Amino acid sequence: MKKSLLLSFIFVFALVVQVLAQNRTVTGKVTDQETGQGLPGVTVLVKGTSSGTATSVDGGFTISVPSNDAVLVFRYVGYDNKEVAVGTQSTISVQLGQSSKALSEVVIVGYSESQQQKITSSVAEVGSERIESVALPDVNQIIQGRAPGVLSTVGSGQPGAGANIRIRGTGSISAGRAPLYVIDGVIIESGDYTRNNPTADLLSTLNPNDIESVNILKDATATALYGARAANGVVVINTKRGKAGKTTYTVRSQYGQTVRNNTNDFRLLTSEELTAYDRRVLANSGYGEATQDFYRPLSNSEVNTDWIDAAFQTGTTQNHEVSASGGNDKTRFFFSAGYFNQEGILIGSEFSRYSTRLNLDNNPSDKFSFGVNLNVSYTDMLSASPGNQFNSPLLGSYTMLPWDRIRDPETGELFVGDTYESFTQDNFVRSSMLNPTTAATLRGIGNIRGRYEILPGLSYKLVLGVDYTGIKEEDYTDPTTPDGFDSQGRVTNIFGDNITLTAQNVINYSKIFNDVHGFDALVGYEVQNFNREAFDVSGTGFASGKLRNIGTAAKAESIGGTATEYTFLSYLGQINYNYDRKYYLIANARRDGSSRFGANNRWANFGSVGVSWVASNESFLQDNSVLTNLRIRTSYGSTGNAEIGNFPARGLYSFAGAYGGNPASSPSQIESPDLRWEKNISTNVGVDFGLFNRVDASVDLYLRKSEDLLLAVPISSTSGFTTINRNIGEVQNKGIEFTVSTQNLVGEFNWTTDFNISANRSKVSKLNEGADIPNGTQIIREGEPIRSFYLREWAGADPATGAPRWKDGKGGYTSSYSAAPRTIVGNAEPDFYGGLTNTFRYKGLELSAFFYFVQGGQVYNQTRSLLESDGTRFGMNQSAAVLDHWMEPGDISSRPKPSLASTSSTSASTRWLEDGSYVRLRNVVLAYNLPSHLISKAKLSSVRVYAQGQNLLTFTDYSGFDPELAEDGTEWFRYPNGKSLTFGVDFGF
Amino acid sequence: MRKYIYYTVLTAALGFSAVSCNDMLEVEPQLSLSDKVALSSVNDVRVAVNGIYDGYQSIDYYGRSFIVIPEVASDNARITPTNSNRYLNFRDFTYTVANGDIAGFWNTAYAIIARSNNIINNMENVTDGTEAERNDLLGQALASRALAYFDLVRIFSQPYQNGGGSQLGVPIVLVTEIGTPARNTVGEVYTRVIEDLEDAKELMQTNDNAPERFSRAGAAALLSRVYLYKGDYQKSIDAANDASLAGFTLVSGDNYVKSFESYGSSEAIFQLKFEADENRGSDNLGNIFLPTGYGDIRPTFDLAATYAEGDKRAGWIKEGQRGTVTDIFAYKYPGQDGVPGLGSPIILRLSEVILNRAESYARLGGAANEALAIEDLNKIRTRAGLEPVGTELSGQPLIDAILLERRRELAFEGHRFFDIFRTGNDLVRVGQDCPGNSNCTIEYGDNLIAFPIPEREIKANPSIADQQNPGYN
Repeated sequence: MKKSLLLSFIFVFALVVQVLAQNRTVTGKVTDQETGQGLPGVTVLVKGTSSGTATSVDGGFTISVPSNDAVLVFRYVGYDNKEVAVGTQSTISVQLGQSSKALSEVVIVGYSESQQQKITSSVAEVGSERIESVALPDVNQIIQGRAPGVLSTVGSGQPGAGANIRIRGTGSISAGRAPLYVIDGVIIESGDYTRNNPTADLLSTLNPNDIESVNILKDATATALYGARAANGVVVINTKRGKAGKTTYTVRSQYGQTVRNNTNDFRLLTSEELTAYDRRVLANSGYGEATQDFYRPLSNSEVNTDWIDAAFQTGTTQNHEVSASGGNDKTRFFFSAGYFNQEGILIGSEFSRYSTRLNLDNNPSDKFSFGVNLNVSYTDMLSASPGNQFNSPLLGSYTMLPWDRIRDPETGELFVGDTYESFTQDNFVRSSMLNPTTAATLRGIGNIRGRYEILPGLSYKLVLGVDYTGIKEEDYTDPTTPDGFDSQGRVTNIFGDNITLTAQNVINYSKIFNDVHGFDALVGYEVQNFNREAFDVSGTGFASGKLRNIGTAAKAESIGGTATEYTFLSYLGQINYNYDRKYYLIANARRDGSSRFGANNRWANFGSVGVSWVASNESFLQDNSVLTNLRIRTSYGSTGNAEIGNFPARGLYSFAGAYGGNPASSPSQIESPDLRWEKNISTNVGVDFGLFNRVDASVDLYLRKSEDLLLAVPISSTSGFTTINRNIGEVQNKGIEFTVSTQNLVGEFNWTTDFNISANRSKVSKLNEGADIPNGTQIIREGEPIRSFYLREWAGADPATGAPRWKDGKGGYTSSYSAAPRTIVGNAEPDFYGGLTNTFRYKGLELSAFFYFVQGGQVYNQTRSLLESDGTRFGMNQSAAVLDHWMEPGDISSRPKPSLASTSSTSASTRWLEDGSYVRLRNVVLAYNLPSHLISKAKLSSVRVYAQGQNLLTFTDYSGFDPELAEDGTEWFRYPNGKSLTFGVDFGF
Repeated sequence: MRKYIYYTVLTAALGFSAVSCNDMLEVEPQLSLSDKVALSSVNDVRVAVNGIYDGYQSIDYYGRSFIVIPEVASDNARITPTNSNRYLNFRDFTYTVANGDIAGFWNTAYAIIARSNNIINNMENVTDGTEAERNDLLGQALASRALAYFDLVRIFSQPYQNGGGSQLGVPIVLVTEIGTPARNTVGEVYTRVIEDLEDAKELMQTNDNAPERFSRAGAAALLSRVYLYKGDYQKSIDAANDASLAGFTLVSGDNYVKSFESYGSSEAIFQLKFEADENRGSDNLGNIFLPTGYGDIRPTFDLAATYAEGDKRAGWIKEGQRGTVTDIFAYKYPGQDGVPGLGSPIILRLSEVILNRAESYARLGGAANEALAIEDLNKIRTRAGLEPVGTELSGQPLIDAILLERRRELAFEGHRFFDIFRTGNDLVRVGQDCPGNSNCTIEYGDNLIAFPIPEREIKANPSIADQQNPGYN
């Protein structure tokens, strides 16, 4: 199937290039008559022909016209159509006005349909042209660096891995820190629902190419309508919808490869080097030549296995999909079907997605409209085992001895590994193929929505939604691999069902009084119920690796189950008012009840107020050609974080235990009836301005106070418990965000630049009685950033003796690890981060380069403590860096004299702390849109061929493979992100 | 359930007020029960009593630590120079207020006390089942609470004799609450323990539950030990003579070593039953001793030398090989149900009760009592295939003979540390048995004999803040 699809593309393509005609190109921009903002997704058609295009996120378009007589038709949902004669113009600016009949064709998304929302609040938008065709499975990964104030990190290169999205800093210590996700107006489940797979993201079930736009709501005015669930920000995803007009079809096909990134040429020792190094370690430990010959014979260097090479592979990526969009005045539709497959750069890791979508809108009368959104997708993930497992290709490749062979040189068979000298005693090349860990996810998101206009300006809307996620995980251990010896093979299956039901009722009223008083209000009511049920079974005793079904297991090993539930009940309201489109006021309120909150605090109230002044609509600025847009806005309000677990307030007896084969119960949680949501108070001040109609910029300053944070407060164990959860802590985040888009060159050669930069500073402002919370290598301490590293300071080898040294805190050094004090030495949060995109267009040619940068933010590279172990990890391979170490008195070295004796030199200290700054060519696209005269005779409206690179260049001082880390800033045998190059072709007809 | 949800969501959506809003927010967990309803019937209580035993199985308690620590901190066990770093501080007596094993034991013991308290205090609300059933369950909860308090006071206080009960014990808590109780005296704790056990003994009329649960015999057997520790010798004898103990018989000498490989020997009075699916792998109790496990805690040569030629019990110490090293290893928990290292630790068994009684008779003194003491001692000796001691043995030599027999009989069952110090002796280790060369000798009365109250508790409980045991900070 895949092959024949590709063949037909090539065939069509061959036809196309033979067609010739005389066309020329017109560029332009479509803006909103009221706001002056660019309108994305406007259909631009050459009247009387079938050729056309759609505007980009800033409203820009490029279209090829057959002659000067051509007339362009601009169509946009909710706006009046407009026709413009081209004449001799090469650039055309068009303003579209909102249709008075807009309601009948308006796309119903979100609680609020008001355009004003965006005028008064801080919302970052990423449009479809930034999302389409990026060779990554997950929109969370794609939006990295595209929006200010949004820090997205992908801590694993596993295809389908979860991304950490933090909007305006980290606002919680023990509750959830991820934003709320809303798709087509309905809150959906997000995060990682797998249990046996090291990482997964539910959002990877969504085909990014189906997305029209991603709006990231940041300040209180934008988020307050989501109340108790909005404290970490809200990501609103709108999927593509059909537009009235000719049905357009898009066929996309993309293929590429991913390889390992190795900016700083990290490598391990060869057999010869390791033998020599280990002999020195033995000598330093007082062992003579005989012992050295016994443990590390010089003959070791006859074999030199590159285990890293064995663990990593060139992964392929492919994506194929078809979509159609169209409709008429009454009915509009968008449908798509896609297949995405990506092999990871580590052996035994892969991700596939099969996705379908149907979005349908119908308005039988002027008063009544309804719509359906339906997404059904299936993903299949094969996970590389995490680095802390013995059979992991990660741990193995870094530590296995180079003189162990992968294959038997006589027979060519893979070794099992149990006879290896390497401490893992396992050949991951063989085991990772035989021991798959998989997760198969079926996701169905469906909702129907109806809207009725009761009176002019007054409408009622009902939305009913279902979000289903079914996950089947399988973890198989083959009886012929070392991990399976004892059990004769084991399979564990986990089955889980997750269902969220949502119902929304919203009444909206909108009217302009006396031409100057714009008024828009809504009240709504929402119920959401989530239910999870899962069970797991495992069995042991398999005849061979040929059959893996649990039905062939000789012995049942264990069964388990879990179930949980929550309900939210919410009332919401919003009032928008503007005077003459100059002064805007917005007020939001939401009241949330949740089954998660304690009995004494079942209901929570949230609200926000925002005002803005559109100065450029004042008469004194109206025709100013320099300052073409100026808007000042400010907001204040509260939201909550309800991600505190489903039953955190209850006094509970757990029935998970057993004694003597009989069920057992015991108190598992102490009652805390006052327990409630965490609170977020945020203040935002922002300015948006435009210059010469060529520069669009925004600056936002914010202060985000997170209060009532849940902390586990120690209590006397004589209660039977050691801690109780209380709402005590406080964290502050403050920051600045700047974004600018410029049209540097307009015309035949077009050059635009988009730049954004954000800086966030966090501070823990209150803990339980000021008590520090130790957090591994980090500490949570009042007055300090939330991700502060708290370590002893490494001072290298003592030049006289080669012994390890640490700073003693009094200006001197000590060779006693315990005598060295721990201090705060930095933190994992970046000082600032952002993205720079330059796009060049010349005729049909387009080049876009997107750099992502992170400055500051330290990385604790714990992996190095095994790979530069000063002799204490005798039996593991070492990093090539260890060749530089203390040799004789007087040497200045960061690495002490290596010996077998344990010296704490590899224990936690600043020795493993590195600068995590990097600049990365995150995405580069070179595309060519074939001129329409070439393709119109083949009945094609557009053909785009492109090459795309992901992470092609990285500049960093970080010593590991990949500086991009999860929020905790700790590297521990982590699956690195790779770099990829893909080629694709999109056909429109 | 699911149907109901669809219904409520739909009706709520359409604005019907059939379902009150707050009702919808009353969602109950499905793996746990509210503590208000978890103990409402006899069956609920039975399941909750299982929860107590489940607590005893913790690795911080009888699942491992409470068996291992009293051996390692004595002259019975040594730790090899290369080791897994487990329990090393107890060999060297270098534990601090931050010691994780000590904190783990403190927390687990009080969790068990809370589980017991909930049952004991709630029993009056349970009305179903027969009175005998209810009494039996209440008795088990009382006996369990007594054992936890007795173990706490044994670990965190000086022996009863060293202060006569007026020294600091542990806080007595009889109701589950977030409190800040101060330490009671050792005497008060003993009084509580004895009262609970006497009550439990009367409430439990049978031994039907033995040995996996506390029974009447279990309460009596524990009482005989508690009275012995307290120096109440006649009461110790009385408890040991309780009729309920008559149903237990000593394992034959030939079956002695084997009897530890399975659950339920004829002399087991209270034995914590581990099932095959409670396999903890390398953390199984036996694996800390076995050469196939960590194997770094081994019998001292001193202990091995106490077994005379022909002593049938000596078979639990065997030569084994770990890596390239050949040494003697402890095989008291060699595995069970085919799972290596799995073991069901015996907490109370008849041999101990007989030795408790023998010691009590000997300490009471007088010819008649000493004759009974010798009779008991010889029961243990002849079972082991040893010559009976002669009737001429008397006074301190008799007591010493009984204590030596006790050491041999109960080695690696978690008694030795307590037996050395409750009898006013010093701990003396020499040569290869104390390779670390630190704190090889601990004299009776040393501050280190009472373990430190965990730092966590000191910080969380202001009433206890200035009641730390002397010698720790």
